[in-house]
Amino acid sequence: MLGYFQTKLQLNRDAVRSYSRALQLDPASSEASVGLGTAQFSAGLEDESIRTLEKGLAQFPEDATHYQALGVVLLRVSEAGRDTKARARSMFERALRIDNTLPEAHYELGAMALQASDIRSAEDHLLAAERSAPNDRRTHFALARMYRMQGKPEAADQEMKAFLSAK
Amino acid sequence: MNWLALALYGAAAPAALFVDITTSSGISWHHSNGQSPDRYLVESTTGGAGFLDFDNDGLLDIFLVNGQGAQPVQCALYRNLGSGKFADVAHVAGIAEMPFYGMGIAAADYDNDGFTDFYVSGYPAGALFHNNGNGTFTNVTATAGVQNEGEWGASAAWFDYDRDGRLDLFVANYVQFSYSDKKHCLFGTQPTYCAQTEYQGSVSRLFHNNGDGTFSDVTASAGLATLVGRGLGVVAVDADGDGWPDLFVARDASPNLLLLNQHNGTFRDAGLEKEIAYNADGVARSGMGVDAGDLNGDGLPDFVVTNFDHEYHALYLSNPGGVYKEATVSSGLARLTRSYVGWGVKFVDFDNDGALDLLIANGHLHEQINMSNREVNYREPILLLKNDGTGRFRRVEIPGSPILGRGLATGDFDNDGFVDAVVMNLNDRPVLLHNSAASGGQSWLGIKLQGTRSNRDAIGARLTLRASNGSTTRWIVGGGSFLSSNDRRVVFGLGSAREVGVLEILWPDQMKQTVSNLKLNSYTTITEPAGDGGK
Repeated sequence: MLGYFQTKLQLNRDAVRSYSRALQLDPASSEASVGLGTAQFSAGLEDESIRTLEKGLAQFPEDATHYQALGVVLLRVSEAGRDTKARARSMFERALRIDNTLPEAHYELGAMALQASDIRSAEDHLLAAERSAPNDRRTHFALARMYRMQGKPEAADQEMKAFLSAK
Repeated sequence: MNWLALALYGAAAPAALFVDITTSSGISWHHSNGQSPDRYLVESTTGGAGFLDFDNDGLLDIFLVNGQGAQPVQCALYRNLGSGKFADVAHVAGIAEMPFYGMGIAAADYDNDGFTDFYVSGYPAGALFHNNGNGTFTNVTATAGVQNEGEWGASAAWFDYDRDGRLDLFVANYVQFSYSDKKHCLFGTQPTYCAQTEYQGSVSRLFHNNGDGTFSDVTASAGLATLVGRGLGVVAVDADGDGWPDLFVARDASPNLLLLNQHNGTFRDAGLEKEIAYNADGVARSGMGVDAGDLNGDGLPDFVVTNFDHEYHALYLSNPGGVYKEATVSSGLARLTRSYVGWGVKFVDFDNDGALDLLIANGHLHEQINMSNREVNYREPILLLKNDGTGRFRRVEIPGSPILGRGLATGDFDNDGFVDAVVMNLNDRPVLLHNSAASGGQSWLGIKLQGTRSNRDAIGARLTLRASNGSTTRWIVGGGSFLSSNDRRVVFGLGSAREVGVLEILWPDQMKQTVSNLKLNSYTTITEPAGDGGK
């Protein structure tokens, strides 16, 4: 819990220490493992973050949140020039095979499809993300862009209204 | 080149493109933000610089804007003495002291009298200084009516939005701020600047030039009064190619604006529909500085916007009739800028190879930031990003220590055809960077435009150089960068070319002019011909 609040306060290196301690105290905590990997990434410890999440995957092979968290890290790392995008996609897909309602994984796959102008896949994933998390602003924004690309201005306007009204 | 020479050439360490000549230039002035224990937000964003030739001697001078301190602080006007030497004449010129917290500068000849005037933005007001033509300036703010009273003015831009031949003034206002409304924030246990989202945004202002030394605040009638947000950077350029100047406003945790000129004194924000308002996740990034340039060679301006660390400095490529394509990742900008908080930014072909490069001032706000992220530091490098000719960038080192960069201005102060720069460094001396690429032997063409029916500075003109191997488009933009004012002259880098093509000028009043037989490796002044223009 302390690590969670430290992450929220952007005290990322403190959060790394707190999650590390939590994992020492309870090595069976998948939550602490995901928290540590995420905090390490936010603290600029990319390689450590990937190693932590990979280790967590080995320990918790049926935990969808580990796949999802590793997917997010690999996606961000790919934006900075590393060749990890395909693996990120694979992580999101594996997460959804375990839990098909995860909004983050659906959103990221939808956003990647939208970027590649794969409208059909984008629509599938973004609508699934919207069903799981109806108030997520990002999903409404992405859907608005998608509908504009499809030449559906009324649907785009509706999603944009939802985007602007969501907190 | 023979093999021996090639081997020697290849073995030599590449010479730095920029050399820091601050000390030898005689610039000793220090910026001050008056940092207080209360960490007022206004202290975190100050520091503009401007290149302007205030005495018309053909050499660019430098104006440096100060913030505030425990003791009165002064701005500097460094007169260019030639040979890379400068001397501060701000006291003689009557512009050393500002009756407010200084932010930035926008220089232009707003009354078309042949002498460059300038506006200084700040909190809780700004000031307009008229150039008397004798080395001194007069504060004409009250008469002109451009006080921007009660506002925190950031970047400003001169441009002629109604094409009446007189330059109007846009001031990007930041947030609603007051010293009495103290906000206390901590980074760990240390006091730090509160996030910008703790403050309500403001309305930016548009002042119409009436041509008699006065201006009218036309913000409401122009349709801008409802666009509340945290404006920091602005560049004026014809974004959609319809012949009328538009505005790109970079805003901090507020959606960026693309204000398209409706040709009737009003503007329409197309930021959302053109997809420059938010990032792909629908997040309004921390837009600070902005500049325009034709990176993809389609004859329309593309835009670069500096942002916070891990947001990436963003690159938007034009796509006629469609939405802008964000090329932040594909250009390499995401990789090259993710650890930095960016401020001033300019598209300039620094090595005159024909491709626009980028120069970016960076510096963080939080002294303790490294406690949070190992990759992010308080002081950050000035980034020179060289374009490989395909729109992909790679970093070229600039010798020197990391700084707290803020404003950044570009200008060829030694008239060698290779554009130099000055970068503001919070609470420290600015950094004057001399471009030493002239020794590389690349060809160039320098153009200075002088309007007659159009505004005298020709802000808003489009220049297209046509050669056998293609065409290159440049604009004389209003504003650009962050809090800073730049050389109005346009330099076309020509690489190894030994001939100049044909120059097509589209003057701000839409008159077209074609000029040939231009001289390589020198500046040419072109005066707008008589005629009825495009009216």
